[in-house]
Amino acid sequence: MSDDATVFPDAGFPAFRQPPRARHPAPASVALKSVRPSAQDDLELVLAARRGDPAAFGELVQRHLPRLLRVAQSMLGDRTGAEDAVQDGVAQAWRGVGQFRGDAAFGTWLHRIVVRACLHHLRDRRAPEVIEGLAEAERRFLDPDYTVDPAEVVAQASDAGKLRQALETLPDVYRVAVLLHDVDGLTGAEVAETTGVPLGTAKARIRRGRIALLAELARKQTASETEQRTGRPC
Amino acid sequence: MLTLTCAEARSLIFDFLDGELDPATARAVEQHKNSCRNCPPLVTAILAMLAELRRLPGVMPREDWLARLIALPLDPHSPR
Repeated sequence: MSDDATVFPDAGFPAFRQPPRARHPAPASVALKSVRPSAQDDLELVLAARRGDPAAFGELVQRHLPRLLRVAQSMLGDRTGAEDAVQDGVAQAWRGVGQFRGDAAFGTWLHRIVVRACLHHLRDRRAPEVIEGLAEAERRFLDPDYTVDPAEVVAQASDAGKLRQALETLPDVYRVAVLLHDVDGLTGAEVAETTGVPLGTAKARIRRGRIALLAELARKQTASETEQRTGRPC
Repeated sequence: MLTLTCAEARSLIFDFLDGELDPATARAVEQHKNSCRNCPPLVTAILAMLAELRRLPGVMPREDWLARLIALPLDPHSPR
């Protein structure tokens, strides 16, 4: 099922009103593979949105929503917070779309705005983080005796729900760095630019986040095996 | 040929996997990987983890939220 096959409600509102589409039964919330629209696909709609066409802007936003919600939910950890942040980002994007010059693809531009909205939400709600656990994970990673069973890591990581849970355990700045780099495909320089830190800091966060995520995935497997051996959850 | 310890190779492994090392250093990491017992499974696990991250599915909007988003009052901030 592609994004194009997804049914969006014709809510009847003037700003984003969409042309009628065929209806198919669908659950209220469905996780699907995100299909990233190409910049060429977006071009005509971008030109219309820049001229102030809200329906064209709405169509553009809907094309990119699965990716935006994925990064927002992974950054903020909950659906409601993600929706609030995406909504803030979309409102900011509308205010700025007239100045969008096409230096990056529209999807990349919108993604950056939403990520910054998410970072703003994170700053609002999170206390400073303790990162001793990450330093310990990094020390262990460099120990020649340390290794993991790839099959066990795959067993955890191939379950999207478990992978999201493992990402959730990372402190915000590391989770955001890994998400932007390894999930959304930004370069190290783009991660640095988007999060407003020097390149070296961004790369260090990606590296530490990856190490901590690997440790978490390996740890979860170990815990699961222990539970099976004891034969009962606590 | 540069010879690396496990700790040295592991400190370079992410730059290696991201293709950001110079050729000589990359060859040294590769050589270590081929001769070490504990590092290859670690590298395999990292590669698998990164592949699964790339496959992480998008999140489709809930219809009630999408309806609210569609209703955002955009007109006061027309981009023109």
